[in-house]
Amino acid sequence: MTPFDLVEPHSFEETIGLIEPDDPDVRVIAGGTALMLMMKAGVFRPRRLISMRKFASSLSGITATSSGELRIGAMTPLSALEHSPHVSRHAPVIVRTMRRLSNVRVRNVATIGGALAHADPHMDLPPVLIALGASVCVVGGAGERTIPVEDLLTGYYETALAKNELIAEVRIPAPAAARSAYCKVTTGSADDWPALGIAVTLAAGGATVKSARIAVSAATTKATRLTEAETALVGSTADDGTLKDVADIAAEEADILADGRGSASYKRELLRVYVVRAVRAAMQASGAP
Amino acid sequence: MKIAGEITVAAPRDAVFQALSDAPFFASCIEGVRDLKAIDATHFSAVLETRVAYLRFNFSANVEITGLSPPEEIKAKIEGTPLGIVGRLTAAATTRLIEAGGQTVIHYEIEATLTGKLGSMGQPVLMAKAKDMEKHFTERLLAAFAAGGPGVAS
Repeated sequence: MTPFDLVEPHSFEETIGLIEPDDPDVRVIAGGTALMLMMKAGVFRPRRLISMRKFASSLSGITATSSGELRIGAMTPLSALEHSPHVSRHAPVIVRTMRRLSNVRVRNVATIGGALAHADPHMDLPPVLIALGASVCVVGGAGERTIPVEDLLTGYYETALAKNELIAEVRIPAPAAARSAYCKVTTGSADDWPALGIAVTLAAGGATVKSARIAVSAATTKATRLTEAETALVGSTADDGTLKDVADIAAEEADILADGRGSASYKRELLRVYVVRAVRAAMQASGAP
Repeated sequence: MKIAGEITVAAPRDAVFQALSDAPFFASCIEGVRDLKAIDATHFSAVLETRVAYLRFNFSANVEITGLSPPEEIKAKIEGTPLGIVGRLTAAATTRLIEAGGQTVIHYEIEATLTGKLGSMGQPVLMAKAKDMEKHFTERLLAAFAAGGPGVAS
């Protein structure tokens, strides 16, 4: 690693003031688990890192509002989500996702805000949060605004955040009798980076799917909703014939990209198979996402 | 990683072949290429600077024209060494020109390999970038021919 300056401000406002919008080599760091890998590989050579560690506790924590909305501070470590009774009750799919998300050492340090701001399409949480309809509250020079997670991610390592904006909180809406599942496909160990990630949230009235949100990741440049596949699923009973159509539509709709974990054609076939498995898993999940 | 595609240019095949085998013109169609130097008639060196989000990649590249069959085919070998990252980029490119009623269809295939840390950390993001560069190359090439041909554009 090349030498760099480390600055440790004591507040969110101070952090925003230290950002240099025109210098991409000055970067804010949360848990740093992903950024450190890039720095060790030499892919990223920062001039200065602005650490949020000193005031992490003021931006950490998980609460549930009376309406059932989950509010998660951006600096909340992933392991806190994994063990939170609120998350377990309102969004158990997140707890299930954590079991194969890297290892406990990473989950203790990596944060939910960092996982979103880093915008690596191989992250496990973004598709799950998109399927759950989550949004982020961001704060910056122009004040505060809310962005749905599906609009936050705009490309490989790119987000809709302005250069002086930071994620302050993640909000997950009340479940509304929805069921969710996340299928992670790895070509290495079970907790490796995925070759494909697919998350599904369904609201079913009896045997009929009333609404659906499907998000794919790791095979695309960003975690992406598959709206045409969702439309094909809604109104059906998720029978074999419909699911075959959903698989074909999803494979056609997604803009698949190859990487070290598989060619585009391989990933397209994985998507075809795993979108069906994810929908079936969601249909069988208990009545909370 | 394999990149393949087709570009249709409203110009005769001879003119398109002439343009594509002209290294300065070819390099001018690629975003981020600078310091192109001709070592001899078939060997060139250049620096490629590319950017993805907040990441910068700089390659010192050597290009060898391995096959020139006017006006049908150009083959080239590219070797790139990234600055600051352990790894190497090697690529073999084949371009075929097909006549299509006064127009020319450029069919290209590039087989690229990234090794070392560049391969494990950089490959996915560079592949995503390659798609952008492909689009940009097409736009610049078509613009040059629309403006009356590479000679006029450059």
